[in-house]
Amino acid sequence: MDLLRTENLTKKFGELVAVNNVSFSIKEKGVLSIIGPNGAGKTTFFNLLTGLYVPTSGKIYLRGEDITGLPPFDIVHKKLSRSFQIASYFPDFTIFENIQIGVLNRLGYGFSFFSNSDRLADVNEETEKYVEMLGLKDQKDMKAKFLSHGDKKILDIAMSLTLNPEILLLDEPTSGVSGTERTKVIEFIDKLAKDIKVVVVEHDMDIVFSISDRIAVLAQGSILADGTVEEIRNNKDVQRAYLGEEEEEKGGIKDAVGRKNR
Amino acid sequence: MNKKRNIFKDPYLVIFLLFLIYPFIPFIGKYKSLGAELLIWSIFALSFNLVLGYAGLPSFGHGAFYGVGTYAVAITIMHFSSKGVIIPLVMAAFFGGLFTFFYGYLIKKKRGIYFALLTVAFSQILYVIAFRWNEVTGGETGITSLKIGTFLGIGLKDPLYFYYFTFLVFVITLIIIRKIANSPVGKVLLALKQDEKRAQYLGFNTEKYVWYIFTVSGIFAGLAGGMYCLLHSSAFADTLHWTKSGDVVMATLLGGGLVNFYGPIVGSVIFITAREFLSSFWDNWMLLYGLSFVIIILFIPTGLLGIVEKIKERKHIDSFNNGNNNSTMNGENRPAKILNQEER
Repeated sequence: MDLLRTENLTKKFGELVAVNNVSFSIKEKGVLSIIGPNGAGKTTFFNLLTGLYVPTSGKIYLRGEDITGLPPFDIVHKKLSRSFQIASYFPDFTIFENIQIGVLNRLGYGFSFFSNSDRLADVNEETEKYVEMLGLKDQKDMKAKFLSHGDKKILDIAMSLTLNPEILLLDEPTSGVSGTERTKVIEFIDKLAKDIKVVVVEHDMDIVFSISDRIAVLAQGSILADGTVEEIRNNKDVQRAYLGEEEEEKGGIKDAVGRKNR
Repeated sequence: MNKKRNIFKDPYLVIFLLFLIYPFIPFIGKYKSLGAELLIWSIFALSFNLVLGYAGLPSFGHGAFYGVGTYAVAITIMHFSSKGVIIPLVMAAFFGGLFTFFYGYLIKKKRGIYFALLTVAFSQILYVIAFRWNEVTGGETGITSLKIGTFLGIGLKDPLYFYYFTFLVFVITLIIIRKIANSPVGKVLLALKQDEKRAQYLGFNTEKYVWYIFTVSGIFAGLAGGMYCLLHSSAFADTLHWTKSGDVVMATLLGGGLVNFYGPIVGSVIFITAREFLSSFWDNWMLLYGLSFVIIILFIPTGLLGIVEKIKERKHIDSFNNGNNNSTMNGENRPAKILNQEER
C-alpha cells in the first residue's frame, strides 16, 4: 500500500489555481524530492498534505485512511510530520525544551496539569536521545534563538521527529544555510532517510541530485514529471519548465539552474 | 551561593514568609485590610497571567470574571447560605469558571486584537447587566452590608483573622497556579505563545489549551472576586467595568508577568500600595502611577522583573561564551559573541 496518496488534489485561492488536480503517490522509505520553479505550488502542496489548508477538491489518503480536511495536530499524530521553509522553533526555549515539548505530547503528558514537566524521567531520557542525535549535547541548555542558522534548521527537523513520524516533509531544509553548515544539514537528512520516508522541497539542484531516490517536478500546480534522478535530468519538459524555450538545447538542467541561482 | 541562586530562580519561600509576617511589619503591618487586598489582587493577577503571560492572550476584560465572583458570594450569602464562607467562595470559583468556560469556547479561535476586543465587550455586557438588574444585583447601589460568616467556626470580623484567612486562600492558589505553570500544560502554553503553528505541528490542539486555561483562570479570578466581596462585605457593578480590567493588565505588565511567574504579585503590590498611599496625598494619584507605568514600560518593556530576566539572560550568554558549558561566569558585562546576534 502507498504510504501517502493524493487523488485529484486541487487548491484554488480565488482565481489562482495553486495546486491543480494532482494525483500522486509516495512509497516506502528513501528520499523523494519535489522540485519546480518559484510559485509552482510546492509549499501549498505541503500545506495541503499536512492540513494547514483544506483542499478545494480532491482527497488525501495516509496509509489508505482518508485524512482530507483534518487539522495539523491530528495529522502529525498519524505519523506525518513536517519542517518549515523558515526554521520554526520556540526561540525562548532552550534546545532541550524545544525537543521536550514534542516528546511530552507523544508520551501522553499533553494535558497533564499537575506533573512537573522537568521531572518526568521517561520524557527526559527520550529528550536526551534526540539532543544527542542533534549533536548539540553541550548546548542543550542554550536558548534556541542563539543557535546558528544551520542548527536552527536542524532543530526544526529534530522537533518534527519527536512524534516518531513515518513520513517527514522538509520544506527547503537548506534555504539560507551556507557552506559547511549545508553539508551538516544534508548529512542529517541522509541519516534520517535510512529509517523513514523523507520528502524534500529543495531549490539547490546539486543537493537534489545527490540525495534523492526519486524526483517529482511540479510546474504551475501540476505534476510535470516523476521519476528517477536520471530520468528527470534528461527530461525535455523539465528543462523547458526551468529554462524557457530558447535555452532548451543547452544541456542538462543542472548547470542551467546553477546559473539561475547565481 | 547555590541556595541564593535557587531563591533567585524561584522565590516562593520569600513571598510566603513576607506575607506570613506582614501584620507584624512596622508601619505597614497595621493596615491589615490593605494586606488582604494585596493578597486578593495577587490571586487575581496570578490567575490573569495564566492567560496573558503564559498563553500570550490579551484578555482585557478579566475584571468581568472577578466581578462575577463578587456577586456570586454576595448573592449566595444573601439568599442561600450565610453561615460559613466556604460555600460562597466555592460558588464564586464555580461561576467564574462557568462564565469563562462558555465564553472561552466562543473565543478560543480568536487571537490578538479580536481576542482583546471580544473580552472587553463581554465585560461591558456583564457590567451593564449588573448595573441594571436591580432585583438580583442591587443595580446602582449594589449589594451592601453583607453578614460575613465564619471559617471553621472562626469569625472573620477581626482584620487579623481575615488577613490570615486570605493568606491561606492565597497560598493554596499560589501552589496550584505554580504547579500548572510548571506542568506540561504550562510548557505548551509558553510554546503556543511563541509560535502557535509550530505547536500545532507538534500535535497540540492549541485552541483547546486556550479554552482550558481561560477556564482555569476564570475559576481563580472568580475566587479573588469572592474574597474581595468578603473583605468589603459588599458587591458593586464597578468591579466589572473595563477600567478595572485595565488595572490588572497594568499591574501584571508593570511587575513583569510576561517573563516571570511572580511578576503579577510584584505588580499588584506596587499598584495597591501606590493607590492606598498616593491617593491619601493627592486625588490625582493616577497621573503619577500612569506616568511611572509609561516610563517603566518604555524602558523595560518586560516589566520590573524583566530586569531579573535580562540579568539571567546575560549570565546565560556568558556561560556559553566562556568555554562551552557549566563554566561559571565572571560577572562582567562584556559584549559577547551571541549577544550581538540577539541584538540584531
